[in-house]
Amino acid sequence: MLRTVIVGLLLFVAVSDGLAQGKPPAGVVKKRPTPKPNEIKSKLPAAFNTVPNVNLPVKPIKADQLAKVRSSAARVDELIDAKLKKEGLEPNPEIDDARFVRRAYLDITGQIPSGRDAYLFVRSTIENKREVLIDYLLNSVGYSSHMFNYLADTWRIVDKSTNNTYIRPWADWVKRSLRQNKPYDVMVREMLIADGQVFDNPAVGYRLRDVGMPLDHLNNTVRVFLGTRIGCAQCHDHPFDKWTQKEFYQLAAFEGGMKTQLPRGQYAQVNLKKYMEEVGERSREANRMRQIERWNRYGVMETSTSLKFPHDYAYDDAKPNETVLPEILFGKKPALPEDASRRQVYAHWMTSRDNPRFTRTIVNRLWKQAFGIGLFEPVDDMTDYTKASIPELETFLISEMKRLRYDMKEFLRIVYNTKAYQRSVTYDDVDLAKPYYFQGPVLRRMTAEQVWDSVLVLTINNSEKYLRPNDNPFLTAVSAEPGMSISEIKAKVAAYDAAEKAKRDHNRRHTYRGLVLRRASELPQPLPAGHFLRQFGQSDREIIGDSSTEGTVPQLLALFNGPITHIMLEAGSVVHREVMGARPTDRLTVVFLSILGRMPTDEERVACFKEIQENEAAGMGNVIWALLNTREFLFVQ
Amino acid sequence: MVDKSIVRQMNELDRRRFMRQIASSLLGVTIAPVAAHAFDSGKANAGSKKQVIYLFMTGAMSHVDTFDPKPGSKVQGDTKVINTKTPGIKFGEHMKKLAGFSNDLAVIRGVSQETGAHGPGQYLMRTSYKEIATTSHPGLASWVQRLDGRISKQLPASVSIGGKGGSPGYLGAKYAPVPVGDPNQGLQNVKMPAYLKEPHFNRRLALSATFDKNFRGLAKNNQHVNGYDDLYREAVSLMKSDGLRAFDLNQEEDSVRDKYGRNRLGQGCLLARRLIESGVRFVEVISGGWDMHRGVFDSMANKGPELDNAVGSLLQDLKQKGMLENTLVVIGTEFGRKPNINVNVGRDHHPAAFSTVLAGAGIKGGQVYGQTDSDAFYVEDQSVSVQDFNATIAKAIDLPYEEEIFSPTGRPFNISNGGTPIKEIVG
Repeated sequence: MLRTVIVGLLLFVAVSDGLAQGKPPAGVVKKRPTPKPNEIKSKLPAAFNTVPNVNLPVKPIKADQLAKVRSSAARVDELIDAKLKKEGLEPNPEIDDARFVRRAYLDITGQIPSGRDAYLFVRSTIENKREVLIDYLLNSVGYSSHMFNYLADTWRIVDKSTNNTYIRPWADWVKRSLRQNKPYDVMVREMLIADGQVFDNPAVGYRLRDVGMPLDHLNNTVRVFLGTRIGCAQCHDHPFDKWTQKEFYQLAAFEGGMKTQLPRGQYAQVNLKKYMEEVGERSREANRMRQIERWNRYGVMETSTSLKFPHDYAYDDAKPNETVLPEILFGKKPALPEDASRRQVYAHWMTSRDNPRFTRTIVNRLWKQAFGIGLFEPVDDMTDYTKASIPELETFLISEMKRLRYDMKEFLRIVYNTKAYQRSVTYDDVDLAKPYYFQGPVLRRMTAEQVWDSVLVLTINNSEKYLRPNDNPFLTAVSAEPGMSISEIKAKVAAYDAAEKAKRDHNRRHTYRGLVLRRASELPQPLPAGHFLRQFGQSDREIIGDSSTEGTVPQLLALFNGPITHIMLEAGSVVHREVMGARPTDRLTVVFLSILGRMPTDEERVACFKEIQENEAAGMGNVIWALLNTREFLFVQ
Repeated sequence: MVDKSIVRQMNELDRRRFMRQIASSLLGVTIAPVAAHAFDSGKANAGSKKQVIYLFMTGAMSHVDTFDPKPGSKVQGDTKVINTKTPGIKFGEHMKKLAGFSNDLAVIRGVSQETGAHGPGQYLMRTSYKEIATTSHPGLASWVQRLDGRISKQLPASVSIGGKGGSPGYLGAKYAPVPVGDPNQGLQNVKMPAYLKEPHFNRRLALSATFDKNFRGLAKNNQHVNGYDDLYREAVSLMKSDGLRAFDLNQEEDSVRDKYGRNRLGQGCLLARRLIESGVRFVEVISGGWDMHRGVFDSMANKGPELDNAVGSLLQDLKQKGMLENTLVVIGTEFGRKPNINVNVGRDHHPAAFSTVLAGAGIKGGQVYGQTDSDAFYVEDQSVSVQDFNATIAKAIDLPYEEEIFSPTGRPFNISNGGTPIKEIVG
């Protein structure tokens, strides 16, 4: 067994290497003629002609756990099949390899497979190739990129939460944590406990996201991590749930001593005034320094302050302006040393395996990632009466999550290895008022990020290797210590300018027709309104989980006439090169595999031949355009 | 299967017609000439149908600092209070231009609701219903189109500018507002590349339809997939439309653009005016940045005049062009802000009382409806629910606000979820 896995993994490494060199690995699949070297000059920026020397470390899944993965996946299937039988429902049929490879790539890495990857997978004769593919994809940078996009939508990740709070290091930290496969509970706890400035401790970004609004921050935290909405209780007892305003304040009291604006002395610059006078109050340099100074004002620190009940507190169980004593919402307080801070108690309670809603929520969120619909819906409005559609399945998944110590990758590995996941999607509308029993995943449109990242697969090779400009020089430049001398201030401003320029230059190298061609996770968070990603439904990150997969007219116009479509038809794009490099008789197959991950049908071949016969080169362009503009391209089957 | 020899025999004209037929039968779309009346002109005659410009201040606009000031109270803070043209009605100091239009405004000071969370609050304002997992409710723009149709045949029924506006919910994509992210960019990618001629575009669509046939068949009972039919139709019709200039702010004089304010809201209002002129029925303009937990007075010094300039200029133009009688202008927000000032000199969320404003479309201006207590904390008199507010909007534009429609699952809904129009405002 173990040997099969290793051989499988090796095979995939070989396959990937072969791809990079444009050669299929010998002996694995039927030989195809090597594509002729492409003589057409690429119109894409030169930066995309060479693969950058980037090697992001990814912590791999545990190879020796395969037997356990299989038995857990089998248990999941047992529970689902039993329920389906009981409800008198048939499971959806199993999907073929072509469907599977496209779906697995999209669900795990957030982008379609290249035509070659799809082809090689379908033709591969390894017995357990689906298991091998799942492991391979979970071990790719794409996994963390895709998961980041999901968390960015849920946690409302932004580069700047106000003009004066720069928190991009938090976004980078989240991506890094995902690559390291940091356990989910540890990741959340680190964010809830973090203190200091974002330059030194990027996890504080979670708290600085909501700078100045501690009570809303509490709402958001409880909603995101415990799947519970206590927001109403901020002002009055919750009208539809059990939470009282007192309970809300008691929970808020754990963070009652937390400050996000550092005391003036910590950032005030003695020589700042002198410097401003020297360069001129309104000069660019002065503005730079002012910005630096502002960015340094924010951080998280614990004080001894206590929270008070509001002055208009109207219930009998406490008095207005009275000090609130911290108390958890439910469950039991974690056993911590006497000197543990209030925030530590709160963070440990929140993320404890004994906190039922914490595990329930992340299990349901991850399950939804794979199946498109949760064990219960919505994922973040749980009450005491919330019941999963298959309670036994939920119980099992919760125990698995605990057994795995919140290892999200291992958890997803089980889910993706189930027969249930590998069944055809449910194409018909799903009635949300009725429980869904997971006959298969549900049909979904790609997220904005999936559309964009998939288009990149058709445009540039190795898209995961192109990263945001390194932020470290910039962070070093802007992080300031109190009491700098004039010359130090001058050096700071110069370093700031240089770092900014370096970032701009880096971006310019990846820019074509006004668009920076990098994966969504490697672009500013969020993109400005009007960007392709926003048109396709990327959230502005103001509201939890506010992304959308609804179709709109501007989306269609972007795919009809937009620069992205144009780039794809341009010499040098991946799809262009693949098509022109293939034997004329293979071209149709190549283009269908590249865009839809499947072979053309006979009817489609006839339509294409006719088109190409009449229009020659432009005809092939029309075929590419037409494939990109199908609904089949946009939906995850 | 298509017989190739026949295809080859067809002359060019036949072939084009053939492609068009494929396109329309498989995709439900064609870019070929539609009946001439669909392209009459960029200027549509609204006839009896009233139009709406709904300005949504997301983040929750402070009522104390805008339309419900409390002169002399400690909650008023740094925002000064000014008189308006209407005796007895006072605004926050930043609403200078609007103070001059007070005789046209109905200020509703007693709106209240229960949630202090932005998402659910906005959802309620747009749909009249609480956000629930089992159904997705349509926003006002989609309701208007559903109940009373569109005006221009070539321009969309509704447009949302500057953010995520209302969704069509269970009504489906046919009733979806066309979103314009950045008003300065207008509607992007609307022109096909110069090298592409119309027959080519049709061929591409026809090809695409052929490729999609299999998938369409599998998903034939999927509203989401089928909804793209309407989107394709709308997109193709827009590409052909000569009313597209309505989306282009560069058609306006610089001085006009300056007057509205060179910011998202200002340019959004100007674009809204252009779209309404051209026959779009409902335009939502979304303006963020109102979530003033910190430094509310500094923030108001920016956002206040922004709002005032934008709406002031909009009202001025609509009046001048004789369009105000037929156009309802709404200033809405998801809730108010807590009157007492917090330690960060900000105001927190406050759903218990907030203000909205109506103008135009024949509503009775020069009045304040509803009253909050001396701290602007609770509604004391003439309380208005979100449902009542939306019923008032529906009544103002002559919609059958009591009409029920059925969702695909057979449940009845109405535009205001059973709200009652405020008769003092809409008669």
